[in-house]
Amino acid sequence: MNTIYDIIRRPVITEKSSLLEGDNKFVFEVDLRANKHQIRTAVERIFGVDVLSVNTAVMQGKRKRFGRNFGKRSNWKKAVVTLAEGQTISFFEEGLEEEAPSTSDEA
Amino acid sequence: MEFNIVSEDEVSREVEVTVPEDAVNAEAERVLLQLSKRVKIKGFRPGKVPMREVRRRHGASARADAVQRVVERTLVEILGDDALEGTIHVQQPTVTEGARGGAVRFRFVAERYPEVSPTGYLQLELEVPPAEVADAEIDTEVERMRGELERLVPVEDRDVVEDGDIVVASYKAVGEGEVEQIFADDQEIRVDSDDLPTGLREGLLGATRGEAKRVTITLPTEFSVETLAGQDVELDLTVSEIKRRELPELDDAFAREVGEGETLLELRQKVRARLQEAREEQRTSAARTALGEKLREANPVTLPDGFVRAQAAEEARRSLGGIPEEKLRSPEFAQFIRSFAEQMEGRVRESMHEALLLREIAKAESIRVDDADIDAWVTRVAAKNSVPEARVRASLATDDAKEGLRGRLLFEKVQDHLIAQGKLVDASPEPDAAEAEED
Repeated sequence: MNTIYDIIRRPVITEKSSLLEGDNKFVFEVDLRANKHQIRTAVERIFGVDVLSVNTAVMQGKRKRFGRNFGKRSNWKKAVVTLAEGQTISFFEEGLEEEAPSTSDEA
Repeated sequence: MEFNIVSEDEVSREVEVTVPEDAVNAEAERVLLQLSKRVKIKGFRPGKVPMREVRRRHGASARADAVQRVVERTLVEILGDDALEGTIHVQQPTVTEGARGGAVRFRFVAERYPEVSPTGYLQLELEVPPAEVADAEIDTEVERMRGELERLVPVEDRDVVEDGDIVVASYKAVGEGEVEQIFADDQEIRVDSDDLPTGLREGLLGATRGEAKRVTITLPTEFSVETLAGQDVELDLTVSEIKRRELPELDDAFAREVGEGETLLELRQKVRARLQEAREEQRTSAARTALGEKLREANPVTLPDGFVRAQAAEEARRSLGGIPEEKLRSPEFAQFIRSFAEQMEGRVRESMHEALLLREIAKAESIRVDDADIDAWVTRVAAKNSVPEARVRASLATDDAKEGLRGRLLFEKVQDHLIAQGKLVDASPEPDAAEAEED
């Protein structure tokens, strides 16, 4: 965890996180060791926005069965970042298209 | 939607079309809406993915789909326009602008038949086989019939093989290894056959019944064992039987045996009548072929290349009609169909050229096909195939079938009209032999 780019791993885009965007809250997966101050700084610097608050939660990795063996996926940290009113994160904005994959990749 | 013809020649028009941005965007939204209902994205329940997310992930492909739909739809609309009347084939449109955003601009080539004004189609000299069947042709046919009744009889008066004999022989190649595969027991061999390996005929001639003989033969270059192909091989050969062909005597009994009358004279008369009938068909067919060649030669036209290629591909697919659909769709088969269609292109080009000319001549000469012609065709076909007329008529149940027949009959009527107007000239009695000499 050397740079701010190591702190923010990826945005979490789910039905629930999409609903939160209505409240100007954006969800990220972050480094498990990152604290709220580091997350705030990283988001502010990377996206050039003002962060009002950061809420975090350590998500327990799911237990998975591989045949007769049991395994566990790693825990991960979720950060819900609330931005100042009128600000947004461009990654979540409309019109910025990824190269469209085939729908079968999404299954 | 606007379009304009950017270039034009005798058989094609290049058209440029512009579709406004709004229309394309509306289509893209429709595509996205349909997609949002069935797309599966991790983190979302099916059908609950926000449009924004669908757009972000699939906007580009939705745009591409929308552009394709818009192009297809616009194309259909434009082809209904009077300015493009007579279009028979459209080459694949090319999107030149707006694939990723903005108004869409695309171009396509609309092909049409050329204007033709046939000339020099009357009083043509057409080369056809002679009307009369020559006596020599009857002799050949009778000999062929005689050959079919040949019998093999054992030769009793000599033990030495002569030319024209049929022998029963056993042989085995001398040596070890792959040559051991060359052997036969009691194989019937025609000594004067053209298919024998070099040296075998010479080896058989003079062989004595029951005595072993060593002969050297040269195996053919296409011999099944590759390493032996073209090689000299020694055979130990023994002739066990010698037979000769015995043809039936050319007499009244022969005529009765072949079921063509009571006497030889009657048989020859029947053969003549049969050959004469076939000759009439040959003459009609040859006259039509010669007519087509002369018409095309006198009236060169430019044909729409894209349409010709599409027709050739269609013909190729139709010719391969019995092949399962999934096999036809395979890439290897697509390649095969392409090469097959290329071979067919010349034939399609000739028939299209001829059809264009015949259609125009029909107009110029006021030749039409009416219901009486169709009825006559039904009667003719029913009689020829010994089937009820109703069955033949049933094959014309669809409008397409009827139109197809009308077209065919029209061309035949025009051809018959032009042949009647022209002059039939007897060609060489043996065109095949003449051609072979030229080659």
